[in-house]
Amino acid sequence: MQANKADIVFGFVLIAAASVLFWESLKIAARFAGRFTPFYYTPGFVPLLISATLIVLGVVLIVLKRGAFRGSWRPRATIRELLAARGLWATVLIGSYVLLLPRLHFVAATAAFLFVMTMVFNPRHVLVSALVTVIATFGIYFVFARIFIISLP
Amino acid sequence: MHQVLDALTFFGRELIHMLSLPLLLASGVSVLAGIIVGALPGLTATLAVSLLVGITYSFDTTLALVILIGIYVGGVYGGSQTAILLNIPGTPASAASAIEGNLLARRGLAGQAIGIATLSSFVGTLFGALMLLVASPLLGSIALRFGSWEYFLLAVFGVMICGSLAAGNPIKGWIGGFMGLMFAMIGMDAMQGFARFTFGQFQLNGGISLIPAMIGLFAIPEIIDSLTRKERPAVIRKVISVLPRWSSFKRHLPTTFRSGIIGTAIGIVPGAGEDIAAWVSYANAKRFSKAPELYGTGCEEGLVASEVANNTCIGGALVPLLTLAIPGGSVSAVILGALFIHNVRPGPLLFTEQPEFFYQIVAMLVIAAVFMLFGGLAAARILPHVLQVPVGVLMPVITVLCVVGAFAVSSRIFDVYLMFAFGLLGYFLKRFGYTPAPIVLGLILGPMADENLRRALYLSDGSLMPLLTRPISLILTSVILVTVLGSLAQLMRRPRRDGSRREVSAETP
Repeated sequence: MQANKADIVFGFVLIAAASVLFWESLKIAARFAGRFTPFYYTPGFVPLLISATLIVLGVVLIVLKRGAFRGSWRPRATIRELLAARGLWATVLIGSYVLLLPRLHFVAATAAFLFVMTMVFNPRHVLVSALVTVIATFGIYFVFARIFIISLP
Repeated sequence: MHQVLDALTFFGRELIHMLSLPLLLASGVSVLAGIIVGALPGLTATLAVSLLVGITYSFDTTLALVILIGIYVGGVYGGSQTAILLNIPGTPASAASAIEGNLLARRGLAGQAIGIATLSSFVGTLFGALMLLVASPLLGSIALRFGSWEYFLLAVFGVMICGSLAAGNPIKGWIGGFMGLMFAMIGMDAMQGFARFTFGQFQLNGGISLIPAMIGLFAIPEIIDSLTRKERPAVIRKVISVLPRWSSFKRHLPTTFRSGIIGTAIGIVPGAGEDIAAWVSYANAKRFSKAPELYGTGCEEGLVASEVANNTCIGGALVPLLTLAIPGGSVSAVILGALFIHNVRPGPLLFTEQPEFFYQIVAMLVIAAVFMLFGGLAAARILPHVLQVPVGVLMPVITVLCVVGAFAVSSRIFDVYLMFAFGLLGYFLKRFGYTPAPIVLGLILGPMADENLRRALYLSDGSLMPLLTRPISLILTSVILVTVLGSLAQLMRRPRRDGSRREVSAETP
């Protein structure tokens, strides 16, 4: 039942987002349509069709799950499930790593990320985490930057 | 007959061409890596292939594809090792193998089970390659008559089969497919050069980069999910005598052939993947078995059926991928992206413009199958130790590889942000019951649908009649309608079935 309610919320979010895109597409199509450019040849035509279809699919999703309107919804349970503690930690740490990359050197940012991640998700010993960090960081750096000559962030 | 002989000659020539040390080395290493990835629960062939698309971006096309095909073949097979040793399928494709394989292992026949699974997977991959060699040119010759309307309909068909890519609910598959199409609309329009939906971000002028989006959608949710799961299962470590016996193989020849046909047919159908092939083949083998009562007690025949079918599916899935540019499953959707990135345009013209490329793919499959046979047997002794690596160590390293793969495409940090954004999207969508494959498929097919629909309408003065007057268009329109109606019928039947199940459970004390 909770999953069905989450589907309904998703359906509404989808309709809202698709409506914005529909409006934007309509503006593009109207801007280009004219005497020599038929409406169906404008850059807004296909996005208009796609966003309209997404609105219809959102409505269908809500209609199919309409039974879930009955009964109480526990949004906290859904949000708690979405952001399970370990999952939330993983997401925050990966996000921080991605944001740190342009500010620090690849080796420094990667080493910091690997050390913290292994400490959080495999809390055995600081030395084990440090060893994994050093081997993986320099291993990846050596293989990609030196052997494959791939530029790193 | 003449065509078949020609095909075999071309294939032989490309096979010899592929027998160079760097390519063989790349194939061997990637198959072994695929086996390890496939064996690790939580890591799938799709994840490995999508990760490597970014890393192999700067490689020579042949080398890059040898690696991707190797990972694909090894990944599909590798799952069987964990299915046998842990009773946890490394990939969904080997879920059916866990039933009989693990029971054999518990009876002290782990080595024999791995031997049978490896030989069956080898035969299955070769069977799939043969089917690819025979079926693709036939389908390709029909597709040569395609015009703008047909290409547009093909793109629509690709999105419509997304209904079957989403397990259980076709609406969710279509939402994913259309979301992918919408993402594909971002950036400079190819016909009139107008930047659509960039919202002032100049980095989006070139559109959404496929590789960062693919890595994000497939890898990041898997990584977060694996880190969320705490428990690790016990591994059967004693593996002796993995070499399969000829007599045992000979006994299962009819099952092997039947499973090969099932695997190919299911592989060709877009949206149905290796996991479905394995289950259908397993059920079919049980139905035709002389001793169906042995199923569920550690039956070799059941293991053969599922392993032959899931590996034959690889060749089957490549048939629509190479001839129509429509992937048969999520891994082939990623491989389709890789082909586009390497400037290979799969589709009807492939057989006239780059015929050698097609035979190279078949040769890559055959070589990967050989490496899988030897690598699989060798890995049976190493894998129990690899499986001890904690997820908390493995996943952070894979995250770094994802970042490297996303960045390597065009050396832009924006692509890394894009990968993370798509990763978050993929994670939340997965929680809501959506799979990433339809989004990737929509992202790939978007430009094809956009350009061809507008061109086709322009040429027909806005008339939709060519949909009914052009024979191939009419067939494709009918197929799309059947696909949509079939999925809707399945959707309508489901609540009724759920309802009856509820009634039964309510009656049960």
